[in-house]
Amino acid sequence: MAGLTIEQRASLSEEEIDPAIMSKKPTAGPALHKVIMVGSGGVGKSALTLQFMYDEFVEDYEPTKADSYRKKVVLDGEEVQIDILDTAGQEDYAAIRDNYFRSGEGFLCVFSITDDESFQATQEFREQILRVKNDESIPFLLVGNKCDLSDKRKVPLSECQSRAQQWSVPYVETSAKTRENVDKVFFDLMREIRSRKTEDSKATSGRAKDRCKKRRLKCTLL
Amino acid sequence: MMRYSEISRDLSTDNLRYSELSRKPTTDYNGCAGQAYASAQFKQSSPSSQTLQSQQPRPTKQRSPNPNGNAHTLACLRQEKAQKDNQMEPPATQQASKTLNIKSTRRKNSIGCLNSFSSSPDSPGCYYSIAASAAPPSKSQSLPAHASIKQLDAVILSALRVPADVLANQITLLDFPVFAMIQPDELSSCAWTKKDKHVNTPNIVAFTKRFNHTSFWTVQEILNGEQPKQRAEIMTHFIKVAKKLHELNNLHSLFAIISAMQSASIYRLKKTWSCLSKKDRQSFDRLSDIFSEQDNWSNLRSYLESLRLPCIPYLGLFLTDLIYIDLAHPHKGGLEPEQRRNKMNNILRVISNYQQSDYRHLLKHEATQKYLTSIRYIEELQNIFVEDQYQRSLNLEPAPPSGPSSSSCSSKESFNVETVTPALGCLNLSPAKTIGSMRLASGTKFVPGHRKCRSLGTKFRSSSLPRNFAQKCQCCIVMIAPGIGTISNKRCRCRRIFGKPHNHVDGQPHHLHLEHEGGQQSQRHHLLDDSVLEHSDALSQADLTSLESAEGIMCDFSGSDCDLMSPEAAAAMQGCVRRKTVQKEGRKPAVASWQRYWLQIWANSLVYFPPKSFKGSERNDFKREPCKVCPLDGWYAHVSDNSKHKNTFELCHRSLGTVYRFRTDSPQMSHLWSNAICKLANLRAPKPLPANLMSFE
Repeated sequence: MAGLTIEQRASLSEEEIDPAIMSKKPTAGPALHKVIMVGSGGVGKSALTLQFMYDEFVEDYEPTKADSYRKKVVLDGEEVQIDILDTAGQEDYAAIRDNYFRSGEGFLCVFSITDDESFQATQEFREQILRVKNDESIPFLLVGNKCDLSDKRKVPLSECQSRAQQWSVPYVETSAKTRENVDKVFFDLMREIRSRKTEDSKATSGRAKDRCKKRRLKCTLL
Repeated sequence: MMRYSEISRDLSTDNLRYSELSRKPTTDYNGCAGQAYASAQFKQSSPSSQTLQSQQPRPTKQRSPNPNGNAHTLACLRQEKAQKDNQMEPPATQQASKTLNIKSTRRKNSIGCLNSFSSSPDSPGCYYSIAASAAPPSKSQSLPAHASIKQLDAVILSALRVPADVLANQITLLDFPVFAMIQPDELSSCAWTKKDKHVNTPNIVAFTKRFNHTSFWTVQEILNGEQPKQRAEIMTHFIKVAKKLHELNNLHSLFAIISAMQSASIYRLKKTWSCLSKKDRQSFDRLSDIFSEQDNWSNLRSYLESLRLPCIPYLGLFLTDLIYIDLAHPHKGGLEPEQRRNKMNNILRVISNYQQSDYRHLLKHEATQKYLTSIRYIEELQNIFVEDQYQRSLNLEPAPPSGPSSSSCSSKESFNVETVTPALGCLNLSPAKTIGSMRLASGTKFVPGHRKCRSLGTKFRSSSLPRNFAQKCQCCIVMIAPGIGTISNKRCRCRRIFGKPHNHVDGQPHHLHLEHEGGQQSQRHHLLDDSVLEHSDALSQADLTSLESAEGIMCDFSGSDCDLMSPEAAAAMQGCVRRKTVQKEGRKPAVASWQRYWLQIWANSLVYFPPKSFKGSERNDFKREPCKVCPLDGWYAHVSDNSKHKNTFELCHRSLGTVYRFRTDSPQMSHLWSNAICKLANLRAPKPLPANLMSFE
């Protein structure tokens, strides 16, 4: 599923639309999922974002437009909006991070598999996010970018996986260049955000706590 | 070092503490006035003098704590206090105090000068004043007199003492030249995220540093308030500054201050926020709204468009736009794509328009600028500083207890910076690997705490420590090495204190001896550190308060700037060691294994570099980036008598009950290490100086 393009996904899911939508989205307008890209400079955060947002229509990109980083997508048959915050280029403005992390609902923590330093930096980002969000099960994906450059690989796959395992988060390798897994990381993350939101709303209304636990359990097993 | 958060705090409390003392008439230490004065200058001297300063803090630190040194300190602080008061007093009083000070400096010139400069390298004054006058290190030029007179009213130690509009004006005056220097080439290169950013985009880097600097200072100042009310008062002051910056259209520093108040360390201070008036909170909210990232920063974009010059924009916004344009329309050699050129040029034009701003109507206020530029901020150590601030924040308003990690998080700083558990080497490929990851995987609910508590050994570097951190570390060692001495009398003093640390590696017998001697001596006085109150025996030599005040001053120097290092970088104590946890907070660890590190002494901290692979004991076999930095305050080392491991020494914390065992190549090396560590840990402790070096009486 994850490897498919949005269009394919949309067509696939058309049959199974309704019940889910009805139950999940009683309010007007599609749900908005706020995704934040984190990672060192030059790891390809912005390339991933652009690939996902514009694909081959990157010519349309206009940096200053209000909706430049917002997109409507169909997630498992449900129309949702994704809002991507990527402060590429502002990595050194360390002080601003805390605040925008606070606004995020899910995080793509990106490093380059050709740059060990960027991998080490993910630790710092993870900690900073956890500190600000105060929630260890915040939707979070560890993303090893530039997997097309496997001959220049500096970070062994096992190391990446063990870190992801240690954090109980999924690990995905992507290539913004070949578009490999680009959609997958964003959709996987949105799914996590969505299930997190439904969980939270159920938890607050006092129901389905057991489901909550189930999910957590699944995570730790990972 | 690394105790940045304590610097101004200690000073300010000390100042308060000494305000009473200052009223007592004292004549004995008149000679110190000039020094005191100069010492204050040290804290706020301009960047141009920092090269000198950075070479000097160490010896001074060593110097002040001695029977007379305490007196010095007292006098210094008293003087500082007076200065501070002067700062805000009407000119008439200032004038009076000026004359007073001139007198004292004159006296110093006539009597103390020779003494303090040639025969007494021990007076802190000579260092300070040299630093403050920014004169080349020749005696005649560095006489404190002129510097002191000129900058008499120039001592500011807290942001609260400067009116908000003055602060905003001076920040803007400092920001603008840096902003105006930014070249179009730097912007279009998009190289500020790359490794060689310092070379290719120096002005962008400098401007970013201004941002971080302002932000860091704001957090620091707020955390200086001991009580929520005091902090709220400081916050209110900064909101005022922010409003003024807003009026000045200095969005760059406005955002820096807003960010500071939204940083993890400040944001979490619920009690403090609740002490703010509703009006101030509203002002803050209104200002922070400008920088909402919502809708691709649409508030900020439209606000910028609505502004007229002069204006210093928040550059980060443009930096992101440029990165995206660069990516969306890559320049693949040959002719630059038109779209790229157009879009880039649009931004460059906008920025260059802002660079035409004219802030000349703002009057330069020397003292405030000095204060602002004196804030010690080392970009490379930012993470450590931020950790330190967060720790301070947690101490001020502890997080509600929940889960086991909170206890470890709220323990002593030294422990937090240096977090070591058996989980260490998850990525070290060490024997502890599996255990480590299991431990973490079973981790409990996250409790906000010291970031490093969670990172354990898996963190080899932080995002903002650049590649050259290690080199810088090495450079910093120069601070404590004899290289400091560009002035001869200073050098000889340094040598006495530091016993030529750079020779340790050679392991020359007589140095060993020297070190040993020093080590012995240090055992007696090593207790001025975190545990000072618990170990009153350490204080037998002098009264508690003066020791503390001495510490306040010393802290200041310990955080000195390392990006301005002399090229005389010499090798310092470093080498390959293996380390094992013997005891952790009084308990034996479940699993303890020998971990290999490249260990280096930097300032008064131990810096650990993780290994790259299983084998090797050369520097190259270890990573360039440190994984741990452990301030030595509160620690001592001794060579273990354990006959099984002749090459080992132990590093123990005085109060935490933590003991590490280190294995080196030879018994000699172990000796050198333990002595060096004792010596450094000891710098914070008072040490009487030989009487013949005291010159004022």
